Amino acid sequence: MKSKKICMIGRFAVGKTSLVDRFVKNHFAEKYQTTVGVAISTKIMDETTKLIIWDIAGFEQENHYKPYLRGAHGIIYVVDATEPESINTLDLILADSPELADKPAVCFVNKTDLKDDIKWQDSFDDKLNDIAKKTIWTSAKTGENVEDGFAELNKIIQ
Amino acid sequence: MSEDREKLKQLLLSEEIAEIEALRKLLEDQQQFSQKVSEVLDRATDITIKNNPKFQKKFSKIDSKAYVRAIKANKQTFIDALLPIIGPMIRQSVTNAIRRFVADVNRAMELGLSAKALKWRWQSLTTGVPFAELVFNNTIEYQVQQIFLIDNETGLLIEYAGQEGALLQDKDAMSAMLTAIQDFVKDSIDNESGGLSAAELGDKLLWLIAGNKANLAIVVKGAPTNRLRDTLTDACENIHIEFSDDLVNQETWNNNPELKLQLEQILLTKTQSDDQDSDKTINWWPWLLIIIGLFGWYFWSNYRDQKNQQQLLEQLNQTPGFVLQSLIKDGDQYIATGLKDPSADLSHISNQIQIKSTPFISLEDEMIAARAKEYLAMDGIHIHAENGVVTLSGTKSKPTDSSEKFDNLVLLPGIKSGNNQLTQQQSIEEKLAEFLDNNPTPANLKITAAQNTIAVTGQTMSSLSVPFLELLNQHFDQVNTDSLEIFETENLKKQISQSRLPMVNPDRINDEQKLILQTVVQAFNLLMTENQQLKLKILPRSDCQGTIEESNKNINSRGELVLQALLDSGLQPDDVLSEIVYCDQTQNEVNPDLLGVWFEVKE
Ligand SMILES: Nc1nc2c(ncn2[C@@H]2O[C@H](COP(=O)(O)OP(=O)(O)OP(=O)(O)O)[C@@H](O)[C@H]2O)c(=O)[nH]1
Ligand SMILES: [Mg+2]
Repeated sequence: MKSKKICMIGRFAVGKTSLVDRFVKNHFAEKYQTTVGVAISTKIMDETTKLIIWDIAGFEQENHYKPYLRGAHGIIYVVDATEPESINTLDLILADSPELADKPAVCFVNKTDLKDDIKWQDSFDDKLNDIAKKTIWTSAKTGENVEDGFAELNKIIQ
Repeated sequence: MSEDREKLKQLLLSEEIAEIEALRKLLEDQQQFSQKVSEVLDRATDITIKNNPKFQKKFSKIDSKAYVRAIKANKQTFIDALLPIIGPMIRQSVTNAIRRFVADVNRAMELGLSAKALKWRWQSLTTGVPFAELVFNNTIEYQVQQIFLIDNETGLLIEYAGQEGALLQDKDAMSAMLTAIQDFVKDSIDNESGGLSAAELGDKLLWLIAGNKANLAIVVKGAPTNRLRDTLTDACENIHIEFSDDLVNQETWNNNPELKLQLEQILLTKTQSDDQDSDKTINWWPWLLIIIGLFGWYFWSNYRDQKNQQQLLEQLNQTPGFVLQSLIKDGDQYIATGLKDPSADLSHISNQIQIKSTPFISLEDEMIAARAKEYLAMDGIHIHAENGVVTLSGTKSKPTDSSEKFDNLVLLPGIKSGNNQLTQQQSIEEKLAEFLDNNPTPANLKITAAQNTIAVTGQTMSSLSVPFLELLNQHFDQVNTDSLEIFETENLKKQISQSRLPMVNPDRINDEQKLILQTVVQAFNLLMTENQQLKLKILPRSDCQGTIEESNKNINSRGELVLQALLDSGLQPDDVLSEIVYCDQTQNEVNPDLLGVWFEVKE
């Protein structure tokens, strides 16, 4: 069994922790409890792979996140479908840590259950395609595509 | 058709066919072929390996079956070859196993039966703390329970050693988290100090030992020492040297038995008793004291028995008329067997001894004496025997006593002859006569002997009789002085001078007057026994009434009468003086008190 380190990166409150919780524990909480530093969870994907998921605190809040990224096998960028600012945040992150560009990555566009609030522009798609190999529309609340999203990354990093 | 073709072949290719034939021969002739191949083999392999490195592996691949076959075929050879190597290894391993076994047994014994263990079980029962926990707390100084070797960069677990299902269960999450914390600390607190090195996890300690590529995270229970930390640091460095490739090769992570073994070697446990060997060993002192006590008691009681037996032996051996043959201890009692003379006296023998005797006649002098004594049955005499001669000494009361028996003494066993030195016992009269011969009887004393009693009677002066009576008392047991009258000189003189003979009638002395005179004479005689020179002075008087002549005549008459009476009663004229006081004038009154004779003792 191989362990693979993957990191959840994104603006605060986009739902990184919620996604990990949904994926690992199949659980969702409405209440927002910001992550401090990093939270680690593990999930066995199959006989050969165990994901070690580093849920890193929202970029703005956490200035010391860089060391957490070291040695990551894969990255999950998370943006909030209802919050365009969360896409800009990814630019800031990449500017701060250019080495991330080389890492296998997928992008989760989260909170898709809030259909009425979605503020999406086509330009966002292009941007995300530059950053990640795949973009997956997820909802931590309903669990939609969450498992598939993680499976997608798992495939990429093998 | 085919024939033609053959012919054609022969014509065209006869040389080639011959060559091919030669080659085939070469191939078929193994010896020749091998010779040929061997010429190129060395170069050929070099080239092959160069072109295909994997070939080397194939080449050197071991056919295990071949080994098994070879070993089966040449067992002894293999044994001979391996023995020098394996022997010491086996010995070492067996020694270690035994040592561990002994340690385990010791520990189990110690824990299973010791008072400590009971105490802990009780504690466990009463406090609810698990027994194992108490044992750990009381016996283990520290125990390395889990070891994580964690990649510095990814925070992934490279290898793990320790109990499965221990405190930190998701080892991967743990590794990642530790790394994250490490990073956080390094990044946010102090870059210089090298980050987090220890943390507390409940009652356990988490130690982090940083390495170049990988960190060691160690869960320790108990109170680890600095030396442990040094050991672990060394181990971390060793791992970096020995497994440097594995540390960067993620393919080997979590699946590296050698590395796991290496980690398992630092799962160290230190028991408290490792330092305190003296604690582990049984405390021998009380046992030693008890043993010494028992020995002491044993020897002392033995010694006491011995001494007691010795005393009894002496007692028996010194008993005349008893010849000891054996003395056997029987419980608290002793049984003495021996020969006993019927006359032997065993009454003084300790009642610890039961005597089983056979009668015999002893020819010891003591027994001869005892036999003679028994036979004579005489009290108060002394019997002595020496070399068969019996000597009787002392006094016998009656002359006839035992003389016949004495003659028969020689008939008793062991008595050769008798020597009678018995003296006749004196009678009291004889004794008294003998005494009086040596000590003259004071005057007036009468001494008689009757029925063992000396009776002293009479009247005597104290100065004369007292020393004598003392002597008498010394010589005789019973002296009776009840009828003895003892007088003091002064008393008698006083008595005499106070005596007055009233004499109204100057012509005669009546009986009553005679009695008074007698008393005076008696007293004077007594005084005379003391002192012959004494004189009795008589003093006749008158009341001088009537005429002087008549009165003086009466005085003379009285004096003469009394003198005569005194002489009559035995006094010598020399013994008596008279002092007559005549009247020189007459008195008018008659006074009978002045009529009479008075007395006085003169020296
Ligand atoms: N409706 C809806 N709400 C979501 C979804 N995902 C997250 N949320 C909510 O969004 C809020 C923030 O979610 P978190 O998962 O805590 O966000 P985060 O990215 O971990 O935030 P930080 O830890 O602060 O960086 C919470 O109140 C969640 O309930 C989703 O898919 N749909
Ligand atoms: Mg969070």
